[in-house]
This record gives sequence, structure tokens and C-alpha cells, in this order.
Amino acid sequence: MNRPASISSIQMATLFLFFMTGSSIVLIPSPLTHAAGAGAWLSLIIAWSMGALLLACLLYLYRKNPDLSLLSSCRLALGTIPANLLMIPIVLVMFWNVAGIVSEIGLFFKSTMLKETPTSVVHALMFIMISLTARAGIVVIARMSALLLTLMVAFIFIVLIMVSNLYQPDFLLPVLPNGIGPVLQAAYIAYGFPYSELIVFAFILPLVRREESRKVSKHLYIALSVNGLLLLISILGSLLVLGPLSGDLKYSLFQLARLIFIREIIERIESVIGFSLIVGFYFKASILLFILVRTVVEWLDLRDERLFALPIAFVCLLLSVTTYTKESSLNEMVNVVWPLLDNLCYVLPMLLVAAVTFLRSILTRRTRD
Amino acid sequence: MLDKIAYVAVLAFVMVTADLKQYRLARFREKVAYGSLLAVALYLGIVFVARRQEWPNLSTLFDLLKGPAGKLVKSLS
Repeated sequence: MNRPASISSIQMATLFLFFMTGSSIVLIPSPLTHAAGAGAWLSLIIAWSMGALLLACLLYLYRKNPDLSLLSSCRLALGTIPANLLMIPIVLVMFWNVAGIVSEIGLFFKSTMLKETPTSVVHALMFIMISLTARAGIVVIARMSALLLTLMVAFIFIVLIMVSNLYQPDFLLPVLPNGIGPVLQAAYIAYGFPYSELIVFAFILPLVRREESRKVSKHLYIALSVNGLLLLISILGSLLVLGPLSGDLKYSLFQLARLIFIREIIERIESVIGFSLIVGFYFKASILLFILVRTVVEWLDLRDERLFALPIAFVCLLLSVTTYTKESSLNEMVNVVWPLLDNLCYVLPMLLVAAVTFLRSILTRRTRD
Repeated sequence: MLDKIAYVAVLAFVMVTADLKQYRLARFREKVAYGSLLAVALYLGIVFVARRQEWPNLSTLFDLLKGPAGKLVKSLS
């Protein structure tokens, strides 16, 4: 991280896809089907559309200033002091965002595979891994992502194919038994997690090699579409097998993996699937920690990024073991508070910067004419 | 409690040992930033070890949004 590093547009899109799909593919089907029942897929489409709008806004800023991160664009548009003040809530939320992902990993292990292991130990091991990954830098992360993403997606498809004998198309109906309200509520959840989180990529888009900056838009839209498709099939898969129960069972894909039974040869393979799903959490946390370290270093005008990876990760670890330690409070945080918090601290500043940049570009054009 | 003290101390020791060489070469500005992060970590470490969940934390700030967020969710459904 201490030397200027850049990656290709496709690598950035891979990181984006991993970030957007990583933990959400395991976590999203359950709260969405809980809120909207068989209409969960509709909620996802609504949230995805909102995400696409946010991505358009993010890419507008990138097109205007391909060499500037959101922080630098903010300084350019609003001035140094307002930009620095605006960064306080963004950085605070990012700190908890990393902690929150690891808290979810801890809960996943606690309720599925490592029931007797203290959650704090799982958190510590996870943080050691993600801090070393973030310390290794964007090039290493990008190179790792291709293989791990392929592995994760392959396992998701394996699960969905192996449980296909249990599919019951009747479970997909009725789509809107209680009107559009529950669907909107579920869309609110999916919008908060993962779609509004895509704003953090505005801090690392300048890492794409300059000669490939024109391809970024296309690749990121493709990545977002693939993400929507993957989440959609995982929701539909959960609904087709578990039906109304899919809202009550957390980690739907893991639950599906438990049901795999092929002639007493292939059964009880959920642990293998579970570890491959954990890769998604690990990678999302690593990317976000890298972005957080980079943002803090840029914000405070520091030089050595490598030096700050471990202390920032340590603070995040301690946040993960001191905030929302109960499952119910974490669920309330993620499903109710998080979308609003994301809107206030991630989305609103970016919209503000984009609006000011847009107005300034219009004014500049008029002055020229 | 002892296990929690050991947990925080071991992780902090490993972190400081790993960063010591770079820390010595760092500018004053970096040293202050690093020290500030350690101070935050120390406070959170005390919250963790003493189980003082009621002490001010990021969740205290975030919980201020519980009411408005709850109303927003209700209005949607």
C-alpha cells in the first residue's frame, strides 16, 4: 500500500461484485422473505434499481474527476473545511461497517458451525486475516479476488443445483398477499444493505489505471447486474425450497446446503459450503478495511498507509465485540437503522458533492460561452 | 475477566510489535494519529474487559436514529 498501485478496470469490477455480493448473498434472502414473503424478489429489483441510480451518480463524479477520490472531489466542490467535517460521519460509519461485517461472521459461526467457540475468538482470527489482506494492498486483493469469487459463485450454483429436486414452484405465489407495503419495507432493507454501501467505492475508483478509465462504467454496471442476478437466484432458490419458512431461517443458502441429499453419497456438506460462503464475508471486510485505511490516511494527510492497517483493524475488532453484541440488537441495527444511517452518512454527502459538481460544470460552461 | 485482558493485551502486543519498525521511521503527524488510534483502542478495550456496554460508544450515536428509522419502516409497511 505504500507504493502507488493501480489495477485494471475488470479487477475493480471484480472487487465491486465481491463487495456487493460477499455477505449479502448469505444474509439478504432471510430478512427479505421475512418482510415480503414471495414478493422478496420484487423488493430486490426495487433496491437494485436504487443501487443502479447511486452507481450512475458515483460514475458521474468519476467521469468528472477520474483522478480524485470522493474526499478530494468533496474538497474541490465544497472546500477543505466543509469536506473535512463531512468526512467525520463517513469515517465513523465505515469503522462500524467493518465491525458489523465481522459481527455477522461471528453470529454465523455461532449459530451454525462453531457453537461452542467464543465469538470474540472468531472475530480476532477474522480481523487478523482481513488486516493482513488490507495491508498487502489493492493489487494483492484484486489478484486474490478472481479465484475466490469463482469459488464462491461455483458453490452457490452447486447448492442451488443439488437442491433442485426439492423445488416447489407453488411457493412463489402469492406475490403480493398484503399489498405493496411489505415489499417496500423489504426493499428498504436491501437498499441499505448492500446497495447504498456501494458509495464507498468512490474512494478507490481512482486506483483504476488511467488508460482503462473509460471502461469502468461498463464493467461496474455489468458487475452490478451480475450481483442482482446472483441475489435474485439465491432468493428464488430459498423460496422454492423453504417457502414461507425461508423468512424464519437465517442464512438461507446454508440451510439449503443442509438439505442436500443425493443417494447417501453426497450429504451433510453444509460445512464445506459454509466455509466457501465465509469467503464472501472475509473479502467484503478486507475491501472495506482497505478503503477505510486509505480514506483515513488521505483525510488526515498521512503518508504511510501500511502503518495504519493494524491499529484501524484493532479498533474495528474492539467495536465488533462491544457494540450490538446481541443477535436481536444487531438485526434491528442492520434491518432498521442501517439503511437510514447509510443514506445520511454515505449517500447524502455523495449526492451533495455530485450536485455541486454538476452546478459548477454548468456555470463554467455558461461562463465560457 | 482475565481471559479478556489477555485477549486485548496479546492482540495489542502483536500489533505494536509488527508496526514498531515503521512507527520509528514515521513522521510526528503519523505518530500522533497512531497514538490516537491506540487511545481509542484502549478505551474500547476497557469497555470490553469491564463489560461496560452502557459507556459511550458508536452504538450510542447510532441508536439516536432508532426512533426515526422505526417510524420510516412503519410508514413503508
